[in-house]
Amino acid sequence: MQSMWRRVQYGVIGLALLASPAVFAKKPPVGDDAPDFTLHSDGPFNLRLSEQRGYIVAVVFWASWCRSCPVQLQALEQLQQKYRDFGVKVWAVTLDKKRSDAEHYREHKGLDLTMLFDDRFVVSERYDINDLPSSFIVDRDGVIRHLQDGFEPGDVNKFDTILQTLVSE
Amino acid sequence: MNAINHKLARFFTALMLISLCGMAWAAETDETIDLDLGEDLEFIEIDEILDEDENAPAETVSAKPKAEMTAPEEESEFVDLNQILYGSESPDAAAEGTVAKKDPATMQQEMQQLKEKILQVNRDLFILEEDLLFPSSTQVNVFVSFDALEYFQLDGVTLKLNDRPISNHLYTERELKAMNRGAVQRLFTGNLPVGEHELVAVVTGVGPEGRDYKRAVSMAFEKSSGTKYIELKIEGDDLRKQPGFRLKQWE
Repeated sequence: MQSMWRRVQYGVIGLALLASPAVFAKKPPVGDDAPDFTLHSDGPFNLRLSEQRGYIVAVVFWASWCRSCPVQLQALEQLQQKYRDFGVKVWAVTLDKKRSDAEHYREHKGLDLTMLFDDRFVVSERYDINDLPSSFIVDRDGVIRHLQDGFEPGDVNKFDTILQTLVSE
Repeated sequence: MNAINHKLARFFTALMLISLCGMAWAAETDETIDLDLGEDLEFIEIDEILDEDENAPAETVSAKPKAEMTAPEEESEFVDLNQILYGSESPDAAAEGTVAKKDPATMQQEMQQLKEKILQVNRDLFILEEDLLFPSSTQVNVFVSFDALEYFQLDGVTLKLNDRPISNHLYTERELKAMNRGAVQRLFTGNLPVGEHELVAVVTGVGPEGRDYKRAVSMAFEKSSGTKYIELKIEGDDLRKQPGFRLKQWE
């Protein structure tokens, strides 16, 4: 009887999960227009992705409690310095609930990246972010050219090649 | 996410209705579709061909070009259908001839006309979609105007209608500059039944002396048949050196 009841409970939980919007969110494919979003930033103004036409934007989702995030953040910071004059921007979208956690983390690591705050997880759900760090690159026309979950140290060269290609287009 | 799915569902429903209406209209009218094959192509009625010589012996009509059917030195008795229909030995040759005869200026003009038609159709479709999704009898629009840059930096506006959140918008630098130059933003368009309703607007931003600012303003209004226009005015109060917020109905 108890096992039966437990099965019913698991079934109800499963149905509830199926009904949640996150289940139906799908990662936008490479080649599609990047879904637009507006988020609070660490600067004086909010930032909107669709207003960055003409720029190449690399967006990385991270959090202060993510142990493997510093590698990608530092790698992207270096790439931003390398390609800044060619119209490349790097946006670090933090999923930290508290803004102060992300800001302390940035100060501690000495990162010089534009930070955006997705504390309600609206954008991360839309992009179906399941792992951290996750990133995507948008070209000057607002089209997604690269999507990646996770980051290995060797991926720096891959990102460098992609940005080089987009810059030369 | 639910709001977006809801809007998408309504949009596709509208598209389906439009296509069904189009199909029904086409089925009712009995008009033929004119194929513009160019001025140089001539259509010859089959009756005209058959009436030319009723006493002539029966001829075999073939679609193949003449050269393939008969020896060159023999006088052919076959009637070339392509010659009759297209005025040349093959439809491709006719098409090539047609294309070659049109000058670039004419083609450019036709392309321009086609683009204008497409834009017109696009506009009509947009208007039809708006009328289907938001009929004027139930439509309600909320606008935001901003003229308080000296005292207030607008960050975002949240709208609630009858205690239900309907809109949440964050403003960027570009939008703020446009609004400060006089632009009015259409923040929300939706449908409401006739009756009493309450609109609440929560405005967040940075106020004087760089302090975070959050203010709410509400208004009860009666929705009658006809489109309702409501404006959230954010103005600077020079006496108190503070921003002021009010909701106003357009008559």
